[in-house]
Amino acid sequence: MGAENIFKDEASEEKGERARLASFVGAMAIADLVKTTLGPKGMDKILQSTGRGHEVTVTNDGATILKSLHVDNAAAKVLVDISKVQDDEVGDGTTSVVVLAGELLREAEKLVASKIHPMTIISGFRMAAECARNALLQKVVDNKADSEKFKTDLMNIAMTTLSSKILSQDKEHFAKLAVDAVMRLKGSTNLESIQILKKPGGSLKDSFLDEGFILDKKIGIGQPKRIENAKILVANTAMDTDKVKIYGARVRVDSMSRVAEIEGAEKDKMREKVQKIIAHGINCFVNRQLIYNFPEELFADAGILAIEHADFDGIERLALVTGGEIASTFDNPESVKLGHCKLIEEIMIGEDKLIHFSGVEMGQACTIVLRGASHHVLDEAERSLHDALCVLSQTVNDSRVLLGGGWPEMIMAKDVDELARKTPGKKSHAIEAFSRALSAIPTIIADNAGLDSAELIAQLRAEHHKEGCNAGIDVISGSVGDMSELGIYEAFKVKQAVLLSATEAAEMILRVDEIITCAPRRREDHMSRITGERQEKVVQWHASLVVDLFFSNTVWPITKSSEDKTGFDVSCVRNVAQVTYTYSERDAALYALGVGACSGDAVNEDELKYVYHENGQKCILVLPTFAALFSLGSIPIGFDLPGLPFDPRLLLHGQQYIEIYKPLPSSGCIQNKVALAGLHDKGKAAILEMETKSYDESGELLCMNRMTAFLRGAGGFSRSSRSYSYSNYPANQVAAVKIPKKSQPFVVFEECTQPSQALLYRLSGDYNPLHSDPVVAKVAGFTRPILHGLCTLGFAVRAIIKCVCKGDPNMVKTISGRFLLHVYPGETLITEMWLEGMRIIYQTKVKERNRTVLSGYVDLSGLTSSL
Amino acid sequence: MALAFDEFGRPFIIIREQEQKTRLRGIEAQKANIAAGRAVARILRTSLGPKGMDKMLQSPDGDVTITNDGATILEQMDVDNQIAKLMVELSRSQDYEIGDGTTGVVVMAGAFLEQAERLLERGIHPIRIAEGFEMASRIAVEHLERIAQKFEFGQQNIEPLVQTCMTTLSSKIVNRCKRDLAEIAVKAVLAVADLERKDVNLDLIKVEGKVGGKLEDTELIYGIVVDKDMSHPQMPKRIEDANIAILTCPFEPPKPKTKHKVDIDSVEKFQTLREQERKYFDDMVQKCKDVGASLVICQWGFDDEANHLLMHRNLPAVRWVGGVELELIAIATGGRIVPRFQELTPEKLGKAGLVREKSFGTTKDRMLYIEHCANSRAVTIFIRGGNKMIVEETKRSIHDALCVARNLIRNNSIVYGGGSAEISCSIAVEAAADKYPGVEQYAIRAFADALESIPMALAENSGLQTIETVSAVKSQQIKENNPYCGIDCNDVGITDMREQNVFETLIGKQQQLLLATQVVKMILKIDDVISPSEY
Repeated sequence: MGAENIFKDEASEEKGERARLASFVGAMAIADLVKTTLGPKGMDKILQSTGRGHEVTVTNDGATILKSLHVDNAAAKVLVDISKVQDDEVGDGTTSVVVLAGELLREAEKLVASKIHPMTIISGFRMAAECARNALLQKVVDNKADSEKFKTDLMNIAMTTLSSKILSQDKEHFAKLAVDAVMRLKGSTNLESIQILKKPGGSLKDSFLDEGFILDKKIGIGQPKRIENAKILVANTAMDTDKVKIYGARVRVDSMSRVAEIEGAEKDKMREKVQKIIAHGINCFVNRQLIYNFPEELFADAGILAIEHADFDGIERLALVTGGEIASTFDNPESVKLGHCKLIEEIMIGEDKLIHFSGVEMGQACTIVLRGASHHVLDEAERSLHDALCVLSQTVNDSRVLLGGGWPEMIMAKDVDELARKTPGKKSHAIEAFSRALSAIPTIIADNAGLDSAELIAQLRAEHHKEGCNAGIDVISGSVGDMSELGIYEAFKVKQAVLLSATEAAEMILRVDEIITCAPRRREDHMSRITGERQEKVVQWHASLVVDLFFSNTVWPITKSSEDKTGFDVSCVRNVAQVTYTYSERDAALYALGVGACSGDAVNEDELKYVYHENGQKCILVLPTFAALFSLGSIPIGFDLPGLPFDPRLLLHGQQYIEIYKPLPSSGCIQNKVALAGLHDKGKAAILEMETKSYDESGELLCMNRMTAFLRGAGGFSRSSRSYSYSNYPANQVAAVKIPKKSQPFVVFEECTQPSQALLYRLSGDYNPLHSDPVVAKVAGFTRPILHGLCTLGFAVRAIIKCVCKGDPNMVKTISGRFLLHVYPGETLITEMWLEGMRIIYQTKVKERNRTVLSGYVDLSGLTSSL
Repeated sequence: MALAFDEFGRPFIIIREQEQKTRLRGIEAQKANIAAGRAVARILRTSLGPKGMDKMLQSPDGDVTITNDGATILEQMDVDNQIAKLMVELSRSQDYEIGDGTTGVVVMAGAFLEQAERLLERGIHPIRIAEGFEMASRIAVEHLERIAQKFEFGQQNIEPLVQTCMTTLSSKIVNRCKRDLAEIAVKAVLAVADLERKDVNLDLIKVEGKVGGKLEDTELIYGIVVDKDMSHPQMPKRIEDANIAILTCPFEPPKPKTKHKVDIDSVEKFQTLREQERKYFDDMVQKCKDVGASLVICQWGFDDEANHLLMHRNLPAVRWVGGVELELIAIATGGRIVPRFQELTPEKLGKAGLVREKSFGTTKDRMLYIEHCANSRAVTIFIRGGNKMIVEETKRSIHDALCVARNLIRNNSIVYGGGSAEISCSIAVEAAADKYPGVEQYAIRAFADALESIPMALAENSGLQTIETVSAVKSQQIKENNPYCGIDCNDVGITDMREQNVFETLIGKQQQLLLATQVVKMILKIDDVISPSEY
């Protein structure tokens, strides 16, 4: 028990400098990522989603970029978070806040490196932030009193905000749109009443603000396309079939005529409802829910325009615009407030027909119709416009404005610098660093515009030492210019939020001296405990040795979940593939050694014949279980099941069934024909049965192997409700054996496996490292490498041959074995046998653990009479 | 080990599946346990005090928490070791009992363990060490009572309470506006406190957070804030002198619990049923109107028709209000929660001076404020902050401050902070040690040394010369016979904590000592650890 290891396995701990470094690096990486999008000449990013369709977004909106990132670093998450909050609160400056926080941390890193305690840095930063805020407060301009000037301010702010976006080409046009829209809100910050409609086609310049309201719906057939002096009823009511809401009500009738009657009553009810609605004296009816044909027809008859299925926002906005209330009951027509507008007509934008409400009473809502070449452009335009609208609506409430173009940063930097000079102690370093971080912002703006930033910043700094200077970076002309003349303004609220949030975030990250990461929540089971190097090892091995995997009767760790399952057609997988397998006497002898022949006594005549014969190797006998090796090379073909993806490591070898038709030759070239013998859907898992028929050189059938594998996680592919099951052989062949528990076994045979048994057996062709590599075995959940399942089967069948068949291996006709548990090499196997007609039922136990590991039966061809 | 051999010389296993267990015994076990306990204390050590650093914790789902609250750190740390889990429990019990000093208690336990290890190495039996510690802690607790002072405050004179809360808050990230937050916390506690019985029900204080705005925007509302809005967008946003009907029945036709069916087999029945249904809604709304309600707060949803009727009859309504909030509203407004429309009477209505809807930021977040309630005992602290982490951390800090204020109201004895109490106890324990014959004397002395580790950690975290500072303070205490000298963490040049106004509650400090000693005793008594091996 390591004293230091108090965490769960994958939880990790980073301390002191390392922790700080990790957070600095993470935060700065995020800042650097969005850095290039800052300023009017900032570049865009393409974001490709990992979801279906790999949708593409082109944007330079900081919040949008960061939102779509998958960030793992904890400090980076803090920055993503602040940009999100900035977006929610003021709507703009999402990039600036991250860049400023990044710059602050960059400076802080240098200070920490020169051995200044983070707490000192934090207190310095706080002083500096306060000072910077005061500097801004002194310089703000508030034109609230003068409405004319105020409007110019708003225009300027909108243009400044838009100039860094895709709309910069037509920024004046859009700035005007945005300002007009916001002025209509009359001080409310509820941007929902500004509807933005995106219609592809035309150019951005064709976008317009509509004073009225546009509803993206079509007018019903046969209803008036144009209504003047409209009285509108906005409703949220069911106009399909008005259900009876009393619980448990149902229609129960005894004849068709009654059905018709009730249907009639229902129709009457609807008719009545429509009559009531019409009684309001309206000529336009807008419903949030569907309107069925029948009521629609009634409305058309009454000459009323009925619009169905307007979305909820649309309804609320419409109610806001027209001044009507949203109604759901219609019994009191006199007291329901109706909406009014001068004209309702159908208009065309591009190819789409829309409904236009103009001349509305309350001008609080409006619609901006965006036109543009593609969806990407429109989406980005909407985001830009949204930013501008947010800033404007905030500015309407807090009308203080500042100049833009790096001017506020320089003002702040100057004041903070002065503070640094006045402050005694180590804090002054931190304050100085703060000022450096502030002046990094204009530097980045200049850099992004491809200007000589060092030169420009120096000029700017010089300019700022004069009182009342308005100098900032003029990106267009590439020089220092007068910001008030150029009309570059920013909202004070945005700048303040940037300053405070960035400082807060930097402070938060600085305070951390330890990062504790919990083990990520597991999506699969507890077996996935592989990390780093080991994982790679396993995966590499997995790629090269799929075959061997198949022979492991154990659970495999998962590294990736299987793909989406889709149904598949079994007809295309009843394929027959051919594989050749060649073996020699050497292989047969090696196999015999592998399953423990002669391991106890090297001169045992009963077993020596499997490995040596005085007449030469050609005459050695081959154990019947050797047949199981034939199927080894042919398995990968069986895996080509289209539509049945599964993870080979989740595979369990469940059963092996061997039929032997002819005594196996001691060497030969075998033709194997592989086919699918069965496939069953068991819900979570699938059972796959592969059949390998082996033919010798003369084309005669030698033996047949059928192996049953349990594919965990591959089930559930059935299309119909009945789970899928297919097999090509009679059911009685699989009949599971029943161990006659009551009666004493006919014979019991005990034998020790060697500790090196698995190492010897694998030379026969099953190279799964689970049986040889202690690390892999640990990973799979075993204390050490385990014995091959087929090796245990070999031991059992050899014991049967020895005890029942008097040492004649050719008597064995059929072998069936079901693997129940793993065996560690070196354990003692006890095989118990019962006689049941021509069938020998056997069960193999591990003596040390007293657990059954294998059970099955062996059919013999003609028992000797002595039995 | 439990291993024997049979007649053939093969190993024979007595305890089943021995290979799957690991086992540590005797001094090895104790050392391993102490090391684990100290490892936890070591993590928290740097978070102690006003200049303590934060820890960044990443949860299994990837969420990030930044905090220096001991209980929170330990709670979210993925601890697997059994002894480490004990330490986590320790800080949790301090949190439940006192609510503050969760870091200190773990650091203290770590220091005790460290001293115990040294004594073990000298060959002192763990039980003797445990007993010595027990005696020493008794001495220390008694000494604390001697140096404790009464702390005077009243409903009007809240300044001393605010000072205490500020001490607590100064170690948190929110110390930028600790003054404001401390005032909020104190006012909140006083609003719900029963000064007669000296009891505070913290359940009446709801701490609500919303991301956005500044920390300075955090406010105390004498009433309830519900994260809901009016059910119909056109209902009034502001209601004065509201009579509130608090309902747990939906504005829907009744659903009897017994299964039933209403069969419609003729047109007449169909029509009666329709008529009935319409009446239901009418009746329900009328009922509310009749008793004089001017606001309906409902736990369930409304049907569209009911919604419109309510709006039409000028009866604003809020739907889908959670059960806990409903109870709070009921407590605050003095209303009764009504489960059926039939039981609605004017007396059961709650009263509130002002109910208003407030919107935030550019998104359409709206919240409902219920203020000037009839029974102003329920208050809400509404926290704003730059990001989720700040808000969460502020919530935790406010909770600590609330607990401190509550403890003071319960028992107004205080001891001074800055490690002064620990140093004073250490001196007292050391002096008392000589009186004890036997091995325990060593343990008691070790306890005295361990107590010094708190001021040591404070000095270390504040960037001061550790040993120099602590020894200077200690000698000053003895020389001037002044138990209020402590570590000057904020570097203002005064070591007398009375002047710096740094103090903690007596029960909190006592609890720390007792809990830490208890856990250490428990750890020392373990001499055999059998655990399943990790495969």
